[in-house]
Amino acid sequence: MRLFYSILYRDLLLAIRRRRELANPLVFFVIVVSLFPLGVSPDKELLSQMAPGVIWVTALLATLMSMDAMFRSDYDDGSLEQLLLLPGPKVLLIGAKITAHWISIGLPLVILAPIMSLLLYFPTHAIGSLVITLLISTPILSLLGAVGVALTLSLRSGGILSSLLILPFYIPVLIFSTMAINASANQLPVSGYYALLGAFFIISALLIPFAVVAALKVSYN
Amino acid sequence: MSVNPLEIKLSGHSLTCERGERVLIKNLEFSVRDGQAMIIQGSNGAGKTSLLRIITGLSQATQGSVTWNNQNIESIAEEYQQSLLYIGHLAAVKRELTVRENLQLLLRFWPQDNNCLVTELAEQVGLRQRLSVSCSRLSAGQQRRVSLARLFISTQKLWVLDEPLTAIDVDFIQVIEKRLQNHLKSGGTAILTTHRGIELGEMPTLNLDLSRYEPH
Repeated sequence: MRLFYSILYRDLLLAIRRRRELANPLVFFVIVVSLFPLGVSPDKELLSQMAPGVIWVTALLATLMSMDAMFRSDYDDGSLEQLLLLPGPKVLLIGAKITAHWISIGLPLVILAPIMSLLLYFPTHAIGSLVITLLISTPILSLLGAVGVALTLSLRSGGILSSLLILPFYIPVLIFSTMAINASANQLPVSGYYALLGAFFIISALLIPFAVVAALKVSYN
Repeated sequence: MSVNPLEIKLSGHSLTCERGERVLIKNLEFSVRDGQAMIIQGSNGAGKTSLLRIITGLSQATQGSVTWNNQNIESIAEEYQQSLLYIGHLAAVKRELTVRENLQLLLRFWPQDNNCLVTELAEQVGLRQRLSVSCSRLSAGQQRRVSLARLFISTQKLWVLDEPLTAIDVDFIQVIEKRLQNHLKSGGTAILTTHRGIELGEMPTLNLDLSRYEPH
């Protein structure tokens, strides 16, 4: 566990130093959401209907933009190979890196989303479910993204390929999250959606670190 | 623990390494003992770095195996990694962090028996005055020094060094040579590549010329 906390500390320290770079996806999120009322129509009815989809799609793209940061710079300067040679379970190392990524991208999105949702006349009684779905699903996005990035590390233009690889796996998360929010906006029961997303999260948290370790091995060969 | 000079620590058995379609090394055999250094020589692109990466276990040989204490390194990965120090041709120094923070991270991650202080470590690599400077402002040689600081806290038995002397000045090369000699004297093993030659005094060294293992 010491390894886990050390990596987490290291990656968060680096995230603070690289905050300008890390702010990019968040700025993107804020800009896109705030342009929608200007570009589409300021109509309250229309906007509040579109709001869950707009916020979710933008959050998903912002996460996708940030994925490359998880391993790229460590791979380029040789730190990743040093980390992989540390004695100790590699799964913990990967788990710590994914956690650090979520804290630096996913968590700010969870905090920003309810604020930005006000711009879109988001139904106020559904804001709770927006926050809950983001809280469960952004870790899934970080986890799934890690596999794609790890697989394409050794390629020069891995960014586009990894996005194409990851995107299909993001879609179920997007569908269930927006369905949950719509259900909650229409005062329908939502616990089923939460349970499904929760199950997604648990399964990916348990299995994906192993897949990432294997993917990194492939990249290094 | 007494050091038995005849004991073979690390050996490679009929190693073959391919990069893409090209066969770089064919049927390479080597064995290194306690207290011995092996210097790998070869022209650019001969596969020196590839061989070192195979020895560290970062990548796998197309054929053949590497053994440590007569056990395949893949089957004793955890134990092997505890006794391995690898410094690659990439410095593994975080440019965003200061010298102090980089050294702190080293001390955090690498096993060590004495509680070494960051300032002492910086003194040893000659960066005492630059502790709070961001590594992106250091010269290539100074970044290399930060990376080589690992040698001064290392308790590992096996050192695998890829061009450790690149970009550093004559004075510091002597410091590194001294450190390497001490490591070998205390029964450690070292494998390194270098283009400029390294002075290891009377310590037993083995030269491995990769051109002998090129496929024809």
